[in-house]
Amino acid sequence: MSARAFGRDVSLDEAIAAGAALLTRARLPLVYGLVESTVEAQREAVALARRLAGALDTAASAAHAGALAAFQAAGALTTSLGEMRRRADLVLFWGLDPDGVEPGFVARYAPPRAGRVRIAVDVGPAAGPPGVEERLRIPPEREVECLLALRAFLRGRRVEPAAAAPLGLPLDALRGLARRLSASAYGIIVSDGEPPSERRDPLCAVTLNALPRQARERSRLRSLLVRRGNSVGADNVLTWLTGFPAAIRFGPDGARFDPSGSSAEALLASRRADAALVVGALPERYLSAQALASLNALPTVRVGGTPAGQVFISTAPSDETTGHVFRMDGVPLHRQGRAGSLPSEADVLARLCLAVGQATERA
Amino acid sequence: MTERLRLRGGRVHDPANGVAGAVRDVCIEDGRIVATLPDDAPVLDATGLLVLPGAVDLHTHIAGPTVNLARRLEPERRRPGATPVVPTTLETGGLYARLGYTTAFDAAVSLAGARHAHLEFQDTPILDKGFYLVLGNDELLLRALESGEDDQARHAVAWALGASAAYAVKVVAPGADYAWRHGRARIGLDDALPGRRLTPRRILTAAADIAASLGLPHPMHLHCNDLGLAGNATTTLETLRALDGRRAHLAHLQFHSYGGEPGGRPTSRAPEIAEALGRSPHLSADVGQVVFGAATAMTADSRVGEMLHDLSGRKWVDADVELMPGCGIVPWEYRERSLVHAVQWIAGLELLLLSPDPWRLVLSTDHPNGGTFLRYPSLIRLLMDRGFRDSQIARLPKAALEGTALAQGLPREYSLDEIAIVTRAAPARLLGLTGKGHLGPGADADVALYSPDPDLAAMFALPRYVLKAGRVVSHDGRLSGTATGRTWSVAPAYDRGVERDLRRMFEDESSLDFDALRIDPSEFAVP
Repeated sequence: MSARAFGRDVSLDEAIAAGAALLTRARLPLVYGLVESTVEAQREAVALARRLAGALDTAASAAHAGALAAFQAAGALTTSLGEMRRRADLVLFWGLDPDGVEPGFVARYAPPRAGRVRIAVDVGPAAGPPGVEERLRIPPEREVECLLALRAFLRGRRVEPAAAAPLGLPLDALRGLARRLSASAYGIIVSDGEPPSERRDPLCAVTLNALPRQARERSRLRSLLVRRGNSVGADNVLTWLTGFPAAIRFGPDGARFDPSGSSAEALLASRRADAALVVGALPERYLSAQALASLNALPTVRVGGTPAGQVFISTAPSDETTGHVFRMDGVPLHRQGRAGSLPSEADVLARLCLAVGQATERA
Repeated sequence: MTERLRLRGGRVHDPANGVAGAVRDVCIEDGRIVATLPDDAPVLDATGLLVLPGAVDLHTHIAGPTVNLARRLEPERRRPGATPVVPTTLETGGLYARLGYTTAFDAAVSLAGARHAHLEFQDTPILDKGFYLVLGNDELLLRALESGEDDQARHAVAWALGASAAYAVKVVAPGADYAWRHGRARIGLDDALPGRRLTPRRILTAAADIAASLGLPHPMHLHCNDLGLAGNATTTLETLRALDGRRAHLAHLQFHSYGGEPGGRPTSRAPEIAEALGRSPHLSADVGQVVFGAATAMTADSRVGEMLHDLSGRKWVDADVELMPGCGIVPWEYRERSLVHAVQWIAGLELLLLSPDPWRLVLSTDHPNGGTFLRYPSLIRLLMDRGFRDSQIARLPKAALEGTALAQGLPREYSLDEIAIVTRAAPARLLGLTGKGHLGPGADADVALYSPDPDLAAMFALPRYVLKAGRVVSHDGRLSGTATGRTWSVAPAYDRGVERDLRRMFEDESSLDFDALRIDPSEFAVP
């Protein structure tokens, strides 16, 4: 099966025409997904959303919103995967085992070595990688308080034990952790750039982002956010083409960024979006159940991913498509795909864009 | 089918060919200037218009990971109807073209970020473009030089230029960024880098020699040490002496022309620097003029990012990259009433007004570090119109002007031909682009036509027509066509044996796949 429209198998041309008609009829179509797509598909999606005068968001947007807001508020001190491998004498995994995102991550980028200590902070079930040199457990309901205490210790401040005790904070362990971080020559704090919904407290993201700046006079601390698929590519492409990495609304005066009003979550929850184009797979972890239900109730065109929606066009899997993708540290790679019978996402989106343009001109 | 166009009867300013305001036709065939055309060729009536070559910006920051991080950092500066400090790729091409600029070179892209820059170039319309590869704090160069293997260093640089499809060698604060990343705030030209048997002086002289020996069209593009620090003119003059006859282009010279005591308030030592540059025919520079208003500091000299953050408390990005320099970013604002900012503005104008040779000191704002390239028209007016300049000087704090050459009165007014030199002919010549910056037969038909206007800023802000490769891309500011333009790059020859050592270094110490770093020409259709 390569294409379906309104319950029947159709040719690719028919599916493109049906998809363009569906999207053109909408008052506020949402272009959404893109986290597994190549750069080439992502830029076509931007062009399409612009032509539709619609909204554009990535599937990772809601999960990454806290980290993005922290970055835009304060900046960040960051590093690359290679600096972790080459230079880090301390690697702190905060509530995340990166091997669960990218198998072999720890062995590749943070293997054990003389003079290096790897510390895992387990935030309840969100545990760091096994086999590290040291481990600390914190209560998941007190993640923010633990981060604030760690930040205070890094700044050389006191935390009143009497205030911390009722909360069950492991103050001695956090003080020791701050000492280790401050004493490191090159320490890296690895955390989840796209945490699950139960760990999206914005204060967590702000405090994690702030940690490297606290010990600046004593140590060179850096942060590294673990991202998934090609969500870093999506952020980059959207940014260089529109100025904004997510939650974009196109209008007559150009692109606007409104994380609270134009994110997919907000548009779906408020039912303002009246049609959707979903590009690629939609990992379940990204969207809330409520927004997912709203999405499933909308007239939808799906390009790639799981067959669903009023119009579905099957595409070659992104990881088998020739094109560019970004690593989580922002380094772009060129991937050589395999020749196959299915069109790429980029090809389908380019054709949809053309068809939408023609439909708009006719109207 | 052959495409022809005759620009009829304009007043031509083409200093590279000695044409200073003569009324004549400019003939275009298939995207290039030709000597003649058949009488029945299509005509664009240029009567009464000033005809100049398309302008060339040889030092700007428009693409790549650092630029995109800055865009991502500053959503609050992007409001509907307002021009952003760091435009998108689509805006960049259009905004430059609307000003009459048809070529622009990004001045700092790392090896790891090269592919990103090319991806953005694909989405940057109209402009011809390229980038300089940042070196001088990277392990490729440092290791070879440290072990005295200058030949190995030359081959490594040649490999890196070809692999990244870069155009020139950019050396940023030689050794100083490495020192900062290893905990040392400042390093003198003859100080050893932390833990290494290597000095900044050795790096910068070797890099200049390498760029020369590779026969690159543009010499080493050098960002001197101590950018922005009071008293750094001493470092700059010492750097000029260290170069000792070697060819180099000095980037954003204004930022390196300060007197005063380190840690104190800067003064302008621009007259000394202008004189030293004038005495050094092997050197060229761009000014890096500060313009009042919004700016964004973005630099591979990461110490500067930290310094600006500490001075202002503004948000700050600093990104480390393995084996290479990283970048620092801080949103900035130049204020007319700030003593320091006024001194910076004065220093830039003094350089431009005292420069004896417009072919060797060209216009830039180091966009967006000194301010946006969109301010070029007002900068041109400052140079051409003394009355306007005096009115702007009168707005500055008196203390900033005390003892400066500018306050004592610099009567020079640039002629239109001199403006054509510092914005077109000279940058093209310094880049070794034989088809740019002039209107002689064989040149690329990149042309800007202006309606004369006593308000020179208004005139330069809105050309009547801009042509790129012979086609009108802007008419009274309305863009037409979405041509992408070409990307310029070099691929100097090197001993393939160097790849073995580089491969080992990347395999042992990097997360980057050595083979994957090389950009295949077909990947971006790089000519």
